[in-house]
Amino acid sequence: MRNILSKQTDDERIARKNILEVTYLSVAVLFALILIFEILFFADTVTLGIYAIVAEVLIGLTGLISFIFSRRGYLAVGEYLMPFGMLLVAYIILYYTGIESVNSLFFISILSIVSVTSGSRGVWLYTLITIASVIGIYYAQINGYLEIQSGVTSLSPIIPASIIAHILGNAFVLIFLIRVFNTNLFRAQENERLQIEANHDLRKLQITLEQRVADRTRALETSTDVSRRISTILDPQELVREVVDQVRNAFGYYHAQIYTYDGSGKYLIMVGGTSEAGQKLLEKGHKIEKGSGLVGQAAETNQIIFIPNVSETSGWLSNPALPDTKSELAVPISIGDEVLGVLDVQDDKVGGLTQTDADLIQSIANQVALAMQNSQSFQAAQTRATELKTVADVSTAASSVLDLNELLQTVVDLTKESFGFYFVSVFLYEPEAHMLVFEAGTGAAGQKMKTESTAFHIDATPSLIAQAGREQQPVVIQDVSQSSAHFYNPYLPDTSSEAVIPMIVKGELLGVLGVQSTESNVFNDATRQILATLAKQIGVAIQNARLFEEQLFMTEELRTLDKMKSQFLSSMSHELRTPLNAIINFVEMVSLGMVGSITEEQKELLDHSVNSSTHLLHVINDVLDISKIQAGRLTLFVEQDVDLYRELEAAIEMVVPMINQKPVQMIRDIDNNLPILAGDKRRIRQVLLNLLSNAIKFTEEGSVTVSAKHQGDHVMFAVIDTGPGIDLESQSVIFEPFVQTADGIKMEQGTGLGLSISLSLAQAHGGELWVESQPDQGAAFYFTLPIAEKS
Amino acid sequence: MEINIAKHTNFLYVDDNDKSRLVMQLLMEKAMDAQFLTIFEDSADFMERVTALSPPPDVALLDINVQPHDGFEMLEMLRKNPQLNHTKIIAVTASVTNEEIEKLRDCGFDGGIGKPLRVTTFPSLINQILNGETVWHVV
Repeated sequence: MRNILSKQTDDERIARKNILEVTYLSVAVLFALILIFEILFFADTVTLGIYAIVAEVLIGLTGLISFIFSRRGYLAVGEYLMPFGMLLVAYIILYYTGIESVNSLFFISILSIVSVTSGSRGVWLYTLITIASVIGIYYAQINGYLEIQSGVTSLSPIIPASIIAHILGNAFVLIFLIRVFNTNLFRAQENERLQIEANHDLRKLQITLEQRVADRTRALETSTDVSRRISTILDPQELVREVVDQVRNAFGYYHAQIYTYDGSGKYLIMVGGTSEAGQKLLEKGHKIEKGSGLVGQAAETNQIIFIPNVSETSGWLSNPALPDTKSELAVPISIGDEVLGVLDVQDDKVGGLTQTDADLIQSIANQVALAMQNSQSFQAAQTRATELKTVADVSTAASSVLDLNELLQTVVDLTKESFGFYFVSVFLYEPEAHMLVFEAGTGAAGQKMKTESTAFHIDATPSLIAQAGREQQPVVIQDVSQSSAHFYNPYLPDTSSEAVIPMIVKGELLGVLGVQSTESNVFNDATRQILATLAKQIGVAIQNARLFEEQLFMTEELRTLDKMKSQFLSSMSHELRTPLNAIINFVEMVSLGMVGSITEEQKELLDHSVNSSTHLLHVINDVLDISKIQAGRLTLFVEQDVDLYRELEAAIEMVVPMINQKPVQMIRDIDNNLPILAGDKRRIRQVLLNLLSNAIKFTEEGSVTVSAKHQGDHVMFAVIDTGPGIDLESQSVIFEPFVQTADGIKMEQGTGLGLSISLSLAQAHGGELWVESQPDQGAAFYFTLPIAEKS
Repeated sequence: MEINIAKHTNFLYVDDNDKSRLVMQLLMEKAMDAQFLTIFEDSADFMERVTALSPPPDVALLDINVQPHDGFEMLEMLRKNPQLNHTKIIAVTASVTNEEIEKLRDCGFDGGIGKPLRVTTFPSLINQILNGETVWHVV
């Protein structure tokens, strides 16, 4: 039951209220009109008299009152007032008219109004009261308590029964209608409610979806932005710095940080953190053990660790540098199963981090993983490029530096610098002593070890140097603290790892290359390979340098020997010329009869003696010349006034005696316009003499023609004989020193040096000397001398 | 017949080898008929002995390998004496490599004749020198 005076403001009541108010007002107006109509036109003939008027007034008032209350919001007043008002009217009518005059339609119309105003309960109530009233009045009339108005003596029970039946029937119909109406109304209301609820839910869903799409978009945008920024960063430090700053700034977190594994894989080292707290932790070298704390767990499990409220999580470790952390999210930075590090974000609000953040940070962490991998690949590529460059540099140095000590120092310095090693050294193997001797090393330690002549016997233990040399295999110690083979060197206290690579060329151990680092585990496969290449390069370089030194020594030796030979021959010449001066002159003076007359026979013998002596002199001259030519030290004694006629005549004069016994004619074909030349008179004469004496020597009959022609920028001499000629094979060798043709050997004269010396002398003057000949057709030797611009 | 200038020329020859001195003496006397030849056996008190010569030498023939002053020192001493300005200073030596001859020329010798001397060529070389030609002759 509703509270009568309660204000009904529900939406569902508004329609009903309007209907009721219209009904109330209609009742009031209808009965007012009836009243006015009766008073105006039927006042005198009215049968109902005053009762009818009173009833009509009451009903009209009831409608008006109900209307007024309803307007004020008190709907229930009308609901109860109207049935009772109607009932009151019914009673009045029944009382004054008697049952017999009752028009059941009247009741029915009242019932209809009640049904509208008060619903099924009002109908039932009103019906029961009306039936009771009808029955009551009927009995009252039968028993004489109320008079029968129509003059009928007895009342048939059919009258009340008929009224009751009408009323009941109507009531049923009305109740049915009300129920149908109510049911429909309820359904409509229910539908409407459901629809509203559905709309509400839909709206909520829509808002949620919109929010999520917006969040997702923002997350994607941010992550794309972060990805874009970090994908171009190849320096790993810059990368993590950029990521933490970006993440923090883009989402307004309290703190963001990145940890990566250290070399051992046991600890995670902070590599980037935002704000001052991050800076402090970075400076402290903050590290977390794998598996410990959120970061450690995320790294170990490769799972996101998400704590929306740190105070509700037991075992959460507060970081004093980050006192305001209320929620935390640790996301592994991983590629597949490999965890590279952890991206950790913290917020200073409980629930400040949500699943959306987790998704977001995860996607960024994935990008960071890729970027880190890129960066690592890039670093690796760069390292490899640097290392390869070092090998190239060492090779260059090796080929350009031939002094062994300088070479090795260059190599160790270059290697140390390029690879960032702690110490690089080279030991050379001395096979006779079975010792590996320190040759070059970097820095002060290298100098000290050089000064102390550090050396290891090849069988020494423990010594990595000796071991690598002995086994001819690289020896690597990734962590000296874990190895007993490492030989502690007081000059190198910070060595953490060491590698020794033997330098082997053509199966022969030349020495070892030693490298040391302050970090452990630095000798990965790539580095080892590079070092092996380097060791090979250095080995080849050492061998080259040694060969060069050897060659240098040999050359010096040869040069000294050559010098000694020349000096010896020089002094030999000097020592022979002094006695020859006496021998030749005394004999010749006697031969010429300058100191008394001699017989022809005596003269002949003395001439032989003179000829032999001069021959001896020429042999000495030739040997001296050829030794100079071979040492590349032939020099000319140049004079500016070489009179070619004089030299030609002198040469001819000297050979004429050789022809005297043979049927050979000496023919001169000499231009009369020969210029004065610059040159070595004695040498020019020597060449002409050599060519002439050769020609006469080999020509048994015919002629020897000597010609000299001025031809443009040079003078060409030719000595043409009618001798046996020279075959092509011999032509190619007669200019070689010590070579004589078969005919030449038969002559049993000459040293076989003449033509070789002549050729060199011609060339020393800038001229040429060559032969044109065919067997049995004589030979022609040509000799040119250039004419210097002004003689 | 040309006039034998050598006959009246004053020659000085310095050589510590007695055979060489004899060769020179014979060449001058027998091959050239030279009348005025002074021979020093060494270079001790060289300038005193040279300046003591009257008349001063027209041609000084100097062996190089001489004690105590070698040919180059003798050359220097002679060149310092203005009275000997016109004296031809000729090296007569058994050291006849191009380098050695070059050195003689660079040091200021007026010419050089290598040993062994030859009867057939020596007189004409001397005549060339006396005629003002520069002679560098080695056999």
